[in-house]
Amino acid sequence: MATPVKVYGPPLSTAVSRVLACLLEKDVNFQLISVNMSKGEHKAPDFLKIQPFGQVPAFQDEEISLFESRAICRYICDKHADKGNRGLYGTNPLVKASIDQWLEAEGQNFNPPSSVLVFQLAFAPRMKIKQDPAVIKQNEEKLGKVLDVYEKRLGESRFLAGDEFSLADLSHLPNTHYLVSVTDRGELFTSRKNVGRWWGEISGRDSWKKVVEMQNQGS
Amino acid sequence: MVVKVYGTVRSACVQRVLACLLEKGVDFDVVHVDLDAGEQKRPEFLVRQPFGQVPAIEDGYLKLYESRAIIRYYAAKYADHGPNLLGSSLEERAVVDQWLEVEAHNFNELIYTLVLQLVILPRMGEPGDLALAHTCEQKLEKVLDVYEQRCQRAAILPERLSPWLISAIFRALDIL
Repeated sequence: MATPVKVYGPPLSTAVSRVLACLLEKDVNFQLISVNMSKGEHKAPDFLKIQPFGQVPAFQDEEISLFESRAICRYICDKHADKGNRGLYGTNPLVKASIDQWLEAEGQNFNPPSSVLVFQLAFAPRMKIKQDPAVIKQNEEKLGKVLDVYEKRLGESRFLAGDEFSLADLSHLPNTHYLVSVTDRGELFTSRKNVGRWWGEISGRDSWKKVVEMQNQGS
Repeated sequence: MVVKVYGTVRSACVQRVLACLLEKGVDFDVVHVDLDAGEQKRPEFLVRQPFGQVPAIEDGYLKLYESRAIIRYYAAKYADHGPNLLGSSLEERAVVDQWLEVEAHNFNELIYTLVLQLVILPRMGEPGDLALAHTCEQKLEKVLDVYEQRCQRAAILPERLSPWLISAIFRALDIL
C-alpha cells in the first residue's frame, strides 16, 4: 500500500475540506495533520517552510510538497487518474477545459462573496468578532447574481461542467455547506430550483458526508 | 483555424490569454467588445460568457471563458510548440498550477484593487479610496516578499515563462 499523503490543516477550514473531499472521491489514503490556527501554528517558521503565505492547507506526498487547495486537487486527480472517481477531472482535454472553466468561475466569482459570507455569518460569531451588516448585504447581492447564472446553467446541465460530477462542483462544497447548514442564508441556494437540486445531489455524495463527519468530530 | 478572442486588449484578463497564445505561436483575432458601452452585459454576449466578463474564446466548436482555464487549455494543447509553459512532469505541472493559484487568489485581488483605486476611478473622474489602496499595498508587499524568496531559490529561465509569471507580469503592466 502506498504511503498515505499528508494534509496539513483543520478539517473545518473550507480549503482543507476541499482537498479532503477530493482525496475521498479518488480513494487516496491520507493522514490529516493538525495545525492549531488559534495558536498561530500556521504562521510558525516550520509551517511557513511548506506554505510560505501562512495559509492552510499544505500537502505532501513522496514526490512533492504543495499548497493551494485547487492545485492540490488537480495534482491528486492527475496522479491518480485511474483511481476512485475517474471522471473527476475529465478524461479528455475538452472535458477538462470545461471543468477548468467552472473551477475558475468558482475561484473568481463564487468564492470571493461566499467566503466573506462564511466568515461573517459562520466564523465571526464563534470568534466573537463583530459582524458588518453592510459587507454582508453587499456580498449577498454579489453571490445572488452569481447564483442566477448557476440557476440557468443547471437548468441546461446536470452538473456545472457537464452531465458528470466533477472537481468544479466539488470545489463549491465547503463554502456552500457552511451557508446552507450553519447560517440562515441557505435560502440563497434552496430558493433557486436548479441550484437547490444540484446542491442536494452534490452534498449527498459519500465523500462529502465523510468530510462533514470529520468536521463534526474535531476542529 | 484562427482562435477568436472576445474582449479588449486593455483588459488584463484578455492580455493573459494573448500572452499565452503569442508564447505558443497560436494565431488569433481579437474581436473587440466595447466595455465602456457595456457590451459585455448585453444578451448577445451573455450567451458567450454568462457572467458578463471578458475574455471568451471561440476555436472551431470549442467555446471557453475564464482566462486561466483558457491558458491551461492552450498550454497543454500546444505543449510541444514554443516554450514549455506547464513543466515537463506531473510534479513540475503541479508547481506551476500552485503558483497560478497563488496569482489568482493572493496576488490578483490586491493588484486589481490598487489599479481600480489609483488609475481607473481617477480616469473616470471619481476619487479613489486611498486608505484601501494603502492597505492593499501593505498586503501586496508581504506577498511580494514571498515571491522574492521564491525567485531567489528558483532560477526562472527566459524560455520557461510559466502561466503564473505571465499573469503576474501583465497584471503589473496594467498598472503602468
